[in-house]
Amino acid sequence: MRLFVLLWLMLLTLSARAELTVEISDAQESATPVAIIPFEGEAQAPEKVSEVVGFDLRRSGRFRPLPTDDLPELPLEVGDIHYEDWRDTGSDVLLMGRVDHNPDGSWTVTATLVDLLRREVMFTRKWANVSSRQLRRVGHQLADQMYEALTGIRGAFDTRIAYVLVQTVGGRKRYTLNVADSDGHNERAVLRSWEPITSPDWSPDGRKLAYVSFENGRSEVYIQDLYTGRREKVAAFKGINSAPAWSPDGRKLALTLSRAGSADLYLLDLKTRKLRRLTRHWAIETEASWAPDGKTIYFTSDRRGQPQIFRLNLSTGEVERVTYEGSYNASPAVSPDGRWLAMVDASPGQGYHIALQDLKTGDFRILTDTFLDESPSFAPNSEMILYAMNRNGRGELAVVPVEGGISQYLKVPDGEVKEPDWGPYRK
Amino acid sequence: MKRIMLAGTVTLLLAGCAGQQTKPDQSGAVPVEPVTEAEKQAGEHGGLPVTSGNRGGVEVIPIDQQEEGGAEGIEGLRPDEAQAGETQQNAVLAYPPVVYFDTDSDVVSEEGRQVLKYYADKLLAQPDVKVRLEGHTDERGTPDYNLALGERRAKAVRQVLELYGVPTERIEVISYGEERPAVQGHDEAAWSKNRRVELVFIK
Repeated sequence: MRLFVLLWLMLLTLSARAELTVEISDAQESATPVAIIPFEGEAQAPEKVSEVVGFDLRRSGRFRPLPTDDLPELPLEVGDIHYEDWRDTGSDVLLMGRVDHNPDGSWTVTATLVDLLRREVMFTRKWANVSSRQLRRVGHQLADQMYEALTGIRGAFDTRIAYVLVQTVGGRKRYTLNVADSDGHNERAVLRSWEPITSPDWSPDGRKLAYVSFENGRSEVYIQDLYTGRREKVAAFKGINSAPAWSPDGRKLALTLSRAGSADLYLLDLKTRKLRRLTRHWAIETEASWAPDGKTIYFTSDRRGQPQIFRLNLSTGEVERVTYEGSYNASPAVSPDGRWLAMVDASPGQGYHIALQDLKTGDFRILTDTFLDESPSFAPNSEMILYAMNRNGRGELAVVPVEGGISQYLKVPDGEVKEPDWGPYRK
Repeated sequence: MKRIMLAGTVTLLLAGCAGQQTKPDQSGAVPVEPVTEAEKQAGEHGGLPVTSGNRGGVEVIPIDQQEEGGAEGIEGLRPDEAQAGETQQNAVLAYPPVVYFDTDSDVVSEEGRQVLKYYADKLLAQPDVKVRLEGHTDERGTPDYNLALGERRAKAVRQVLELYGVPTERIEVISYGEERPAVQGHDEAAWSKNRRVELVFIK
């Protein structure tokens, strides 16, 4: 038995080193230049914190860190800055810092953001007792703080994503549900299966994932605690069980069930386990997405022929159509600030793209020009959208800022990645 | 005359279970596998290729907050090897047990109805065999909507079988949406082969 397990382990390690690779696009010309000085002492650390910050700011689409070679000087202290030398760089701010190794093996990271125009310190931050494994998170938190200082909007770099990896192993398809940092690092598997896994959805507290698993030969919905590994099957009714969506308060799960005949929306109270039917229609109703106030659910329905997005008022039961552009609109995703509706839109001859509708004005625009786009998911600050697409014949993930222009690609060399979901702010 | 023509989908489904994967050529026909057991079984069941066994096996991996990262040192489950009972599809069949659909449609075509009449007759002749209708879509569009569309297609096929006299209790409906394509590819040639309902016979 042990020999068999050993052989199996070897098969796993030989074939399964997927390794999400991240490609950050060149910044747009319109992106704001920022100066980030390599931190003192970071070359000796396992992670270069200033680079984590630089990559984060670049993948937001809003900022363009200046190449180190283009920096007029590399000051290590605020007092070393010659402000006149920075005037022609186009950058109004400068980030500098240091990474110190402590006797107990931990690190201390200090960083200062300087306003080059006003010639004053905007903030200083310090992280003490940082383990090697936590260094990247410090970079993300620093990027978040810098982002907020510069835009007034909370950064969403210290976040994680979930997605499904599909690989062929020994002639069979193998599915893995993965969690990674939103920059693609620290990828880890939380579920492996020889049957499809789809539709992962983060709980608002960031501790659990709901998803659909076909491990028993059909679609069933599970909730898994990521840290204990405990799973619970919450929907295995007759027909399809799919599209789980946590309510913003984490107390309920919207689901698509076809137990009563056709695919309809249901609400499962996670405490009482009571099921409440939300739609009663012969058409397909699926892909629930909650408005941030928890009072409205957006969903896909083909009651008018082809799929379009509708919304349901949970207290009145009223259903209202939301999308009118394009012949196919599905997979709604409401931004956490309630302003935008992202979706998959298709029209004849135009392919499947991520589109955005302004929920206040109704303005509609196509956001992407990639191929076979699906599964849009907002970052918790509503500034970026993670989605799945196809490039060079393979499934990859991409991040597009709400202003447009893809800023980041995530892919694996030996498989496909799909069905992404952007997790909440980390506690 | 033995005319053995296998749709790529069927062969992939069953040959895949036997640990091999064959690719369909342009016409959809695939090389014949040498068979003894299957032909014997085919004779027994009068041609219905009966399958058995599930392909399960999942591995749950908790995130250890202390853990480095990556998935080293995890002992995996063996893939289900209960494929022994599966027969290879190699009997004399007039039609592959699959019905195809147009984009976004769940309408069974005239051709589809012919296929279903053929299999309905076979099912009526073998009362101990059940049929599982597996609904699929191509990869375009959204996965959850496609799961429901796949089910709609399977239900449309069920309706036709019922019209041809197959009792409802012997028909099972399931959908895989876009998750189990028969043909890998990102063009209409591939997509048209993935918009389908497959008939799987179970004893």
